[in-house]
Amino acid sequence: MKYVTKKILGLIITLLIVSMLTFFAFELIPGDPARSILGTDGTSEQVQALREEMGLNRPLPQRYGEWVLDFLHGDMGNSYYYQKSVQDLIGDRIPITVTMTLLSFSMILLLSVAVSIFSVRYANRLFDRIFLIVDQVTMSVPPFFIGIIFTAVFGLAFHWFTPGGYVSYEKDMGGFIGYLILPSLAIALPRAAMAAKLLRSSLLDEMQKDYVRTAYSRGNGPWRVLLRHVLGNGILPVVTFLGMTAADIIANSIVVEQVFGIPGVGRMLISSISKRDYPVVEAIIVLIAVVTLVLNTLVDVLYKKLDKRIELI
Amino acid sequence: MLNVEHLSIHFEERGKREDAVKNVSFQLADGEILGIVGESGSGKTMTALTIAGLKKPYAVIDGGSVWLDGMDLLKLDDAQMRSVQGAQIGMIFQEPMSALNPTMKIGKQLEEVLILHTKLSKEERRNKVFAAMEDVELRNPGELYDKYPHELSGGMRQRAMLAAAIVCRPKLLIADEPTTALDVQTQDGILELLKKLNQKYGMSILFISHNLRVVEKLCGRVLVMKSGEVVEEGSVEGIFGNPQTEYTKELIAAIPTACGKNEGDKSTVDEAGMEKDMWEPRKVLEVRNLNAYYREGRARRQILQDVSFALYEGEIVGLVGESGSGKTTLCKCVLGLLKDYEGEVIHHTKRPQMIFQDPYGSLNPRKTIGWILEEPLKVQGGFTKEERKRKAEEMLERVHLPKEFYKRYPRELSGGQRQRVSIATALMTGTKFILADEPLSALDVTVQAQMIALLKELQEKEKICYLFVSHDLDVVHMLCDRVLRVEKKQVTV
Repeated sequence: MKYVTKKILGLIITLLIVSMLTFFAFELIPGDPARSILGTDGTSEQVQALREEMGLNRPLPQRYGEWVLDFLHGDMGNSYYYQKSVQDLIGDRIPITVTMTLLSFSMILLLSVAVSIFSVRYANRLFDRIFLIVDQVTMSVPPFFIGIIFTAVFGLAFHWFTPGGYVSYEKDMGGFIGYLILPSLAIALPRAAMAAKLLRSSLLDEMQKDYVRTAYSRGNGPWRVLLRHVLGNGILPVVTFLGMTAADIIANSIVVEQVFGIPGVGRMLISSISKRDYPVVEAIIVLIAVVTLVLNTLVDVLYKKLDKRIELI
Repeated sequence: MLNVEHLSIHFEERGKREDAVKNVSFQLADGEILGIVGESGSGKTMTALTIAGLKKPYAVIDGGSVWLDGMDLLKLDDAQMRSVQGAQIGMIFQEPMSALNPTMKIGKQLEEVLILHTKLSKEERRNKVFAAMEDVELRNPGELYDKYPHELSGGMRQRAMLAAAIVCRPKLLIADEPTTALDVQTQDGILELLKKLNQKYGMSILFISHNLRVVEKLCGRVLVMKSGEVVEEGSVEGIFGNPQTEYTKELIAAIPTACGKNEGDKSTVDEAGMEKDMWEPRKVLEVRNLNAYYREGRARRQILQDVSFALYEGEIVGLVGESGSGKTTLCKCVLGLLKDYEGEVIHHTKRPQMIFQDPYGSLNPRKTIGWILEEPLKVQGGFTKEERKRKAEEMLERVHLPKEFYKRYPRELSGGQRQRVSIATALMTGTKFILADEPLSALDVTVQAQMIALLKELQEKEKICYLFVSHDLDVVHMLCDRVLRVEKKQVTV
C-alpha cells in the first residue's frame, strides 16, 4: 500500500500549495478589506484602527500560518460582511454541493457505461447511429443551458417540480434528493456524452483484440463478452478522464445552483466575491480544491486497482 | 468424427469479392492429429475459424457443410453453436499473451468455460480447473489460479490457454499456429503436451501451422493448402518423403535445416575462405568487458556481465538466447541506445543500422519508398536531387526490387518487399554493419528463403556484416557463420 501513502502525501502537498496561492493572491488584489467594510464614510484613522483589530498589519507569513492552523481546527475565520464565522456560513451548504457533485459523478458513470455498451453491441446499426448524433449534440450544450431547458420543460410545462422550490435536507431528505436530480443531470449530461464517446471507441478497439476471439471460442455470448471481458479492459482509459471531470462538475455546479436556486456553496461563492468577502471566498476555494483532489486521488487508486498490469508500488 | 465437405468461403468488403476457401473437403477421425500447412492467405486459418464458429461477418460461406458427430455446425443458430464452442470444440491461438484477457485471473478464465457449459458447484469447478492445470503440466495450480497473464512466461501462458481449451474435455481441439510465437525449447514442450493429451483423452487435434518442421513432429496426416485449395493430402511420411506437387516440394525445400545438404556446402566454403585468408578481415565492431545494467524502479539489475566479442566484415553472426536473456540489452548497447553500461563498445565502421521484425511498422506510411530511401542521404547532405534519385534506384536494384517502386507507398508492398526496403534503407547510409532483430519471423517460409538468399548475396558481394537476432535456431544455423549465445548474463561463442 505504499502507492496509496505516496498519493496521500502528494495530495497534502498540493493542498498546501493551493492554499498558499489562494491566500497570497487575495493579498495582492487591490482593495482594503477594512476600507470596504467601513465604506466611503470611514476616516483613515478608523480604517487604521480596524486594520489593527483585524490583524491585517502583522507580517504576511505569520498570518498565513495562523490561517492554515485555524483552518485545520475547523476555524475558517470570520466573514467581513455577515459578522459571522465562515464555518457557520458555509457549514450547512457543503452537504448540498457535495451531494450534487456525487450525484452528477454517478450519473456520468452510469449513463456513459450503459449507453456505450448498447452502442457497441449494436455498432453501426440504427441505435448506434442515433446515439452518435445525440451524443454530439449533448456534448456541445453547456450545463447551465440544459438547466434552463429543464426548468422550462419539466418545471413550467410539466410541473414535475417547482422551479426555485428547493427543499432543505434537514426537513425532507427524499424531497431534497428529488430536487437535486435535475440539476445534477444538467451538470452530468455533457460530460457523460464525452465519456460515452471515449468509452465507445475504447470498447470498439478492445473488441478487435485476440482475447475477445478466445472468449467467443469458449462459448460466451456477445453480451457476456462485452460485460465480462471487454468492459473491464476498455474502461481503463476512460477512468482517467472521469478523474478530470471532478473539477469540471464543481465548476459547473456553481452556475447551475444559480439556475435552480439552490443555496449551495456555489451561490455563496458568487455573492461573496461581489461583496469582497475574502475569508469566505478563500475558504470555499480551498474546499473545492479538497473535493477535487480527493476525487482525483480516489480515481487514481481505482485505476491502479483495475489495471492489473500496474503493480501497487 | 469431423467431416468437412465442399467448404467454400469468400470475403466481401466494400463490394470487393475475394475467394478465401475453395471447395475444401477433409475428414478427421477420432483421436487423429491432422496438420494443415500453407503460407498465410492459403485459407488454413479461415477454415479452422469457420469450423470453430469464429469467422468474421465479412467472410461469407458459399456452400458446403461441417459435420461434427452427425451435426452440421454451419446450420446451427448462434445459441446452439455457443453450446458447442468450448464444450465440444476447444481452440488455442498463436499469441497466448493477447489471446488471454489481461485483466482477468488465469483461474477465472479457465473456470469461465465450466460456468458456461456445466452446472457444477464452485468447489467442483475449482477441482476441475486444478486438474486441467495439472494435465498441461503447470506446477502450483493453487498459486497460478490467482495470477494474471502478464505474470506468466510465454510457454506457461500457452499452457494456460490449452488448459482452458481442454477443461471441458472437448472431442476436437483446434490449434491455430500455437507454437509460432514461442522459442524452440518451449515449442517442443507444447508439442509433446499436445501429443500426450491426444493419447490420454483420445482428443482429435486439428493443427494449423506454416512451420513444416513442427507439423512433421506432431501430425499423422497432413493437408497442404494453397490459395484456398487443398493441393495435397497424405500421411506425414508420404508428404515429406514423396511430395507430389511442385508447391509442396517448394515448401519442404524452404524448411531451414540445421543438418541439410546446404549446410555441408557452406561450411566447406567457409573453411576454405578462412584458410585462404587473402585479406585481413577488418573488424567492424569490438565489445570489450561489457557490463550492462537495467533499471527497475530503484533496483539496478545487471543484465550482462563481462561480455567481450568482435565482429568482422562480411560475416553473419547469430545472436540467440531465450526471451529475457539480454539479447535486446546487448543490441541496445551496440546501437548506443542504452547508456548504463561499463566497458567498451568500439565501432570501426559507420554507425550500425537496424532492421526490425515488422517492416510495416518501421516504415513511415505517409512517405514514398523513394523518399524513405533518400532520407539518409539528405541527412548526410552533399547530394543533388538527381544523384539521390539515381542512388535510390540503384539501391532498389541491389535488393532486387523494380525501379518503379520509387514512387510507391509502403502499404502497396508485400511483407517481403517491405523488408527488402528496410534493408535498402539501412544500406543507403553506407554502413557495412546491420543489426537485424528477428527480420524473418513475420514472413512466410517461402519468402523467408528468398530473404535469406538476399542477405547472403549482400554479405558475399558487399562484405556486409550482420548481427542476426533470432529465436529460430534453424534459420540461425542455416544463415550464420558463428553464433553468440546469451545465457546467464554471459555470451558464449
